Amino acid sequence: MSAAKRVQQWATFARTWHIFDCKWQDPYESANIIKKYLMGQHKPIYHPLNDCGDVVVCINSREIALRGDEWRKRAYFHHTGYPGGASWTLAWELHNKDPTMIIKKAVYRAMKGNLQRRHTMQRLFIYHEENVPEDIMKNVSSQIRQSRLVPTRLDHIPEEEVKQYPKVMDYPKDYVLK
Amino acid sequence: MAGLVKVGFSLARNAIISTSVRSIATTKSLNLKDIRECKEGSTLIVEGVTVPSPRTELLIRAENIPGYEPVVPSSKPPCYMCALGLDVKHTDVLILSQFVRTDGCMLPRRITGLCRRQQKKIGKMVTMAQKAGLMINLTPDNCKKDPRKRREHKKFNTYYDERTIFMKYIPKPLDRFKR
Amino acid sequence: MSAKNLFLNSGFVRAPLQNGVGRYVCQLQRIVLKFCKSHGGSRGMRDFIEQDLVDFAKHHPGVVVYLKPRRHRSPVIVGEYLNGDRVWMNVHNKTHEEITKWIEVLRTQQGDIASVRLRKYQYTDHPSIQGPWTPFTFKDPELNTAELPSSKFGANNRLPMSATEQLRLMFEKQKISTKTEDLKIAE
Repeated sequence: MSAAKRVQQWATFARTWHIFDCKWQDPYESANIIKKYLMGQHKPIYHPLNDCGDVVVCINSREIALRGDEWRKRAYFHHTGYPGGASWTLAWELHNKDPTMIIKKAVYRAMKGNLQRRHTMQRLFIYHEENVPEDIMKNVSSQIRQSRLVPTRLDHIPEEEVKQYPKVMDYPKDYVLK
Repeated sequence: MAGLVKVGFSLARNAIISTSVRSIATTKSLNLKDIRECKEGSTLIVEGVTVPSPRTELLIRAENIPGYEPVVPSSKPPCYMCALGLDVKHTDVLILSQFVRTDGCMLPRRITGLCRRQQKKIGKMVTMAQKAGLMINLTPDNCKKDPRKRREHKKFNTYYDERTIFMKYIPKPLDRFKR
Repeated sequence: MSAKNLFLNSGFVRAPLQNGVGRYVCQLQRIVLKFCKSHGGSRGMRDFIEQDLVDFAKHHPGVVVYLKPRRHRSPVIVGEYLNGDRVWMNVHNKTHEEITKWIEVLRTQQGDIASVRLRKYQYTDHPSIQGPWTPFTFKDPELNTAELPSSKFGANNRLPMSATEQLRLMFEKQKISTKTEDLKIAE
């Protein structure tokens, strides 16, 4: 193999490090997105037998959002193996204990259960806040787009903008301002 | 006993500060009123001042927008929110905050002037926005302003699906087998 | 698993267009017709030998023709090619016309093309003009200098416009229309 071809091979199969901001994202929706990047399914050279998966760094995993009342309805099951060893942990309890666990489990379950899955999971880094170790952050060269729009709180919008925003409703004539 | 205490307390409060809304509303209603209290020495002056609405300048109506086509005149004209035809979500706090009082309470229909369906929809979306902690500056004073300080499952971010508002009216796949 | 030990040889589709550009070289080198002189299964083969074989040999002097009579065996055609391929074909109970056509097929084909497992249904000598794909192809060059994570590259840019923004645009439209109306009245 000539030197140029060898470099070509390295370039094609180079691993890219992606960053994903979990703020206000549904972990089960975003797991399907992250999964594609971890397994390399976003590449035109993808084949289940070639090793072309990328590395994904998830940040702000504490800020994930679940839908409706799922924080108290969704339960995570664990069994120690001993009789009476079953336990059910609610999503908010699990998130209190380890804010990275929900997104990790979601990505793990989004992938097919084969021998490759645990090795693919090794390429996923999850941090519960924005601070990422320097040696990991310096590799990051790409960002994965979120699926949901991050909502803005009313008190974070400047007061002038709120005042100048076009009004849909006008008060009736005899309304007492409150 | 607690009830008695409550009644006594409210009576006492009314006696001290006579700022109940009712006493104002019985006057001839003509214009938007702002209730102002000023204290001069030992006398408390409470007056209802008629003020121009701050919203008239910024008001938007579908019929004023060029290119708006009204529905068939035979049917009932839609309310102003239906006519705008916006797909409002619970994250559109700039729109939803116009329908609430300063304590975050949804205004009644006689004031908002919406149709029944829109009133219900917007009322629920206001609830969603409040639960998601997006309008925490429009809450009663005793509320915790930081959503992080809420307890248990309420502490974490939650988003809502607007389709669930009228879920009752969406036919389920199995409904066609119903007799 | 390697494809070496499989029954069929593997190969790629190809168009043998270069043969005949300067001078045509018949790829069939030798053809052996095996048949029985008495059995009914060789009837068509015998007809072919009686009527057409001499003409065939005259027209294609580059092809060596052998006849191999053998008692009470099926008729068989075996062709041998310039590239070393050997094609064996059973023509039991085939008629005269059919055998004529099959021999024509054997004469014109380039080696044993029927028994090749195609690895792909397409093939090109020039796989790519712009070079093979790398993770950096089609990447936004702005990413090189961007400070990640940034909301510019992280936010979903395919969502429909939110109602808040739509209302803002509507208000702008309304403002413009009221302004023009005022101007008209002033005129």
